[in-house]
Amino acid sequence: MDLDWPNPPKFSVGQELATLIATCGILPKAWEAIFSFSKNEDDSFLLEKDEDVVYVIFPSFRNEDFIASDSKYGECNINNQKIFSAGLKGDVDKPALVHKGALNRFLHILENPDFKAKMQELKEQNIIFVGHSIGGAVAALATIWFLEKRLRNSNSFCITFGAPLFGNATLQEAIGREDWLGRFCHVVCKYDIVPRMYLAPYESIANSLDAIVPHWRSKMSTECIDVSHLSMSEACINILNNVVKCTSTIANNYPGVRSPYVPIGTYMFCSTHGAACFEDSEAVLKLLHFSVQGQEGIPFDQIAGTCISEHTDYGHMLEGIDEALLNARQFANLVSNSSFEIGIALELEAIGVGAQDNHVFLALKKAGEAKNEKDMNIEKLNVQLSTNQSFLAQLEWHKMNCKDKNSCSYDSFKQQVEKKDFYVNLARTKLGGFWDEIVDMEEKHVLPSDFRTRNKWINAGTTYRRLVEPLDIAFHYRTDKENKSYLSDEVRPHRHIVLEKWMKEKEQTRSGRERRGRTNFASLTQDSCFWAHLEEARKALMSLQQGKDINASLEVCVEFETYVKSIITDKSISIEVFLDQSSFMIWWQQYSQIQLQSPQWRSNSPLYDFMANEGCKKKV
Amino acid sequence: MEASKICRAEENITYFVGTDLISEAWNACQNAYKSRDFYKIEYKNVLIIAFSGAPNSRDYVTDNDFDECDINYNLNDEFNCLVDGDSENPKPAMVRKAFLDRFLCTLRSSNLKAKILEVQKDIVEKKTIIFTGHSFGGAIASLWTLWTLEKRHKIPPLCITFGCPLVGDKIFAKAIEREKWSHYFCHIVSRNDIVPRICFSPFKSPFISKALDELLPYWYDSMRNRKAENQTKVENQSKVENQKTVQDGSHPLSKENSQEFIKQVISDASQVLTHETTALVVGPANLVGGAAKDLIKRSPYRPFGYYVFCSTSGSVCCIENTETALHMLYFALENSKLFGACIMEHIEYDKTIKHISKSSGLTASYSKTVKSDKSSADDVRIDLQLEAMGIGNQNTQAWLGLKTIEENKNKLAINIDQQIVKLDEMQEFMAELEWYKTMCEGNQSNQDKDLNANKQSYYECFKTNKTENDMKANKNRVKLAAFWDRITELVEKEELPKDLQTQDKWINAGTEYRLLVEPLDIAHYYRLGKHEDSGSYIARGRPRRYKLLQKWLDDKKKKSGTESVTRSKPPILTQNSCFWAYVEEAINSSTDKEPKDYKMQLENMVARHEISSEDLSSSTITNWQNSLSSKAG
Repeated sequence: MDLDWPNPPKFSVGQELATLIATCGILPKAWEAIFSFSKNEDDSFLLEKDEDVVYVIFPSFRNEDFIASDSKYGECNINNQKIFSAGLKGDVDKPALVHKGALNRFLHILENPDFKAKMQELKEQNIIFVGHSIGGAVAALATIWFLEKRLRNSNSFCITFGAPLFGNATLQEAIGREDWLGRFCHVVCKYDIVPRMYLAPYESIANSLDAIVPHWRSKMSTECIDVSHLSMSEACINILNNVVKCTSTIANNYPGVRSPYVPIGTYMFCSTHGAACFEDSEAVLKLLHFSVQGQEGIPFDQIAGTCISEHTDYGHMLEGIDEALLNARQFANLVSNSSFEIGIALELEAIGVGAQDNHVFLALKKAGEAKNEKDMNIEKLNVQLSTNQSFLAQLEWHKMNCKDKNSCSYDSFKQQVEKKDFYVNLARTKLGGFWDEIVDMEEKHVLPSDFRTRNKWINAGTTYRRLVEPLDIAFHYRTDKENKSYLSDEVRPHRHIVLEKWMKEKEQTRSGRERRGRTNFASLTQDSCFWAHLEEARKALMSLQQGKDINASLEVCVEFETYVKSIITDKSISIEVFLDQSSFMIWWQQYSQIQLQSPQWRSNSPLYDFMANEGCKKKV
Repeated sequence: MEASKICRAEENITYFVGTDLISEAWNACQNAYKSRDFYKIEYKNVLIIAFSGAPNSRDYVTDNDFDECDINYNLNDEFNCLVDGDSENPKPAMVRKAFLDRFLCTLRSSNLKAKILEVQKDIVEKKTIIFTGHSFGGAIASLWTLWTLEKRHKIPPLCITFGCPLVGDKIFAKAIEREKWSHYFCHIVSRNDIVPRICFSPFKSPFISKALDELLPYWYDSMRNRKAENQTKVENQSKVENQKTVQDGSHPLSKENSQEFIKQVISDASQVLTHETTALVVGPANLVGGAAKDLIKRSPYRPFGYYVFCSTSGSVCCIENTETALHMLYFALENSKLFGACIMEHIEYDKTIKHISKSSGLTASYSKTVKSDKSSADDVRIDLQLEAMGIGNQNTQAWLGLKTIEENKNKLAINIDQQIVKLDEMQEFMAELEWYKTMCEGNQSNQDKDLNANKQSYYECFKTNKTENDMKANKNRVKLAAFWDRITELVEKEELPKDLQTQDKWINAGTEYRLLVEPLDIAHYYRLGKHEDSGSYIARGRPRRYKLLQKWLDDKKKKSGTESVTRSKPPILTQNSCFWAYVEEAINSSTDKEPKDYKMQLENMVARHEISSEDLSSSTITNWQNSLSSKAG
């Protein structure tokens, strides 16, 4: 592939995906299980084993699940929920939100000791979480909860039928970052009201729901509830009206208050003509609006009726879907020459949304192109990364040369004694530019959503940071006139802050594994800011020598001592620091001279013993 | 690129038709039904061996869903090159156990093996062997062909099958393509015949097993009886044919059962097809299909070799790409849904063969019927193929599917072109490194002629690194690593042609690179003290590129079969590129026992003349040996 050439996407496989899922036999099994389970009054969960796959089934709904009137859209914050990790919860200003009704139901199930025990047993198996309606949202939350356990040998997947939207963009991003979006498949009947209903404020639909929910319940279970036909049809029209008002605002990008919810995962839209899968969240939002726009000739109240009845009619829909999908779609006149656009047109045709509906078509096209661009970007970065290895190698080389001369690359670069240091600086700048660009691209969302959790890039970034940040620090202190600390946020380059954050996030997710303690000192100091800490301690030492701010300066020095001791203990410091010429050793000599006057220090100092005995021996 | 698009399958079939081999093979197949295992006949200079397609109770009693098993199960690695993956983690090709068992049965019990070896050794007569078989017999013929091909004699065998079911999985198909054996297999498939698709379904499933229970004996009986008819009424063939068309629909399966049966197969086939298509477009990651892949059981079997589809209307379509063949197998069936024909066509290959003989096997002859308003040659070709299959280019799904394959093929072609250009550029860096090596070794020997002990190999030069030259060498090392890493990545992502790793050009370039540069990588590794961080180079630090390149060479050696000639002189480059890593580990190891093992190893290598004299006389080695002997002494 020529990387510099714009390369439009070639294909769109939404229909193939739908066929793949619809014909594999999982869907009918899942629906059958839900349907028979929902008949019972049991409101917890059910396990069903089928060959080597375990289905975990959540019941459809209870009345109270829909009711969540304390916030406008029934959303709530998950910050206080211990069951989800910090990575999922997002920042303070952009917290992750989920639907409260679903969350409460899931929490209720979690309290059941039986559930946890059974999940423990299942940890090495293939699990499919399935649910219908609110139960679908519960299943999705359960899937997230289960995925966060990061069990290596298990494979979990989530299938929902007519589930409402359950989370906001922050949650979606967090899931995308872990590359889990592909594990959610939401089956949606084209007209079903529930998947789109929380796009409208809860109040506007509450009254209608009160009338409709009993009707749904009677459909899903054997119990007979009398529902007056008249109030039903009124409620149907009412709810559809209110929902469409909101979806049209969203689909047309009109300004206004939007519901926080976004689609999370792959949506499989089904109609009598077939089915297609869509992955892009924006495009799905648009589809949620346009798919209820009826064809001409169908009266509105009929559509409204369908919107309600389809919610409990998945069994019927699944029966016909195989057949519809396997019948070849034939396009008499192809809309365009591009096979990508033909693919989209086929998908829209399959779900009965006219291809002439430009909004959806363009949204899908844009989504496909954006995804393609992301893939191209990462290809480009891959190539650039390997070219940049030569700069990195140069710096490694430099470091070794310095070591042979008994000094640290940090000091050598700071003093800039040799002509070679000029080339080192060149390599440093080039690498800095490369990583700045990557961080920038990631923040602009033009890289794949799971980019910052990919091992390759985390490792490359960490190696870069550990090797080059000391040079950045040296550069800062050599040129700094304002006596600013490198460690303050406005001085430390953004790339290092971000790279360190990525690594820490990744390490948190790895916490399940025992980490080996080091037995040898690291070849690169693990904390890339070590030298900045040292520089600050040096400043403090200077003022100490000059007799200024004695207490504050002393505190800084002691703090630094403790810090060094701690990284010596876990061996995450490189031995090159203890080379004779290193500025650390110089600092230590001067510092200990001052401190030796106080006998108290001698016995309390965390570093003294090490430096006096062991430290010297360890030297190369 | 355009030139490569001429269909070799067409040439093949034209050749078969021209020499009457197809009808001879078909006759042999029918005769095979009367004999126990196989039937042998000599025709001109060709030995035709036909296997019976008689059903066997074992055929559809399966252990696991699709009855797949390791191809070398119960064998001593007879199928050497049908293994993918690396030595630590081999991924053997899977084949249907029922077929493999039957193959093994004929391999062990009959004198066929001896006969084949004898024919192959007979260089004077230059006889060609053709394996053939109808139905399940075709599967056995395929395995026999493969077994014979593995022996790599001068005259390769050919394989013609009629209505043969799928035999092996994707690795199996890929290996055959990689070894460039595809054109030895010619699968003739009547357009609606269900048997070539039957392996898409698990035989356990009720619809399938019920249908097979009735159909297998029926097919077998009619094949046996047909044989008799054929012998007596060769001249009345047309009459027999008419009779057969009347017979259509007279098979024992009820209409409902056959419908359910065929629908099941279509549905299972669509599983395989959609999986392959989506994987090709989006890649296996980050999509619903990828996440759910372990949850969904789908058939592992894929087509291999060349396919010749023949429709009842008499049109013939030759396909050499296995992915295209997969599409055709599915869409032809899905498009027509002639439930009776699906079952009957399996035993009506007489007709099919007549069509093929008439058409002389050219897809292109249908060009008149296709309106070529499409721009590229690819598009026209897709239209032609669909037309010939009777699917029609209005079937957008089929059209898009085939287009996906074409685009993917083009992508691979462009990728490899670019990499070949880059490979040439890399030669410059290689040359510089070679010069560096000579410099290091030459300088040393000039200066220290007397002090033999202080000789340095380029490994040591690089490790101590004093001069500007070392710096330059390091840059070259990094550049070359970037290139080969990219190749490794592309190969692993399957974005380079499958036969790349069997091309001498690439194997040689890779080996040369590995032998010259890996010592530098080892030097770098130990110089930076990475072995203290993460362990020995061989266990933890060896880059994937070297493992891959070594595997290419090992595979090639394995295939050539002949023992490599033992060296009589030390080579210019040490042949074991990990040599220095062993040395480093030996020096670093502190226990008493280990150095001896290392010493043994080293002595072995020296005895086989695998180590260059420069390396051997270098100071590190000499010092180490001295220290060892002083310890021992």
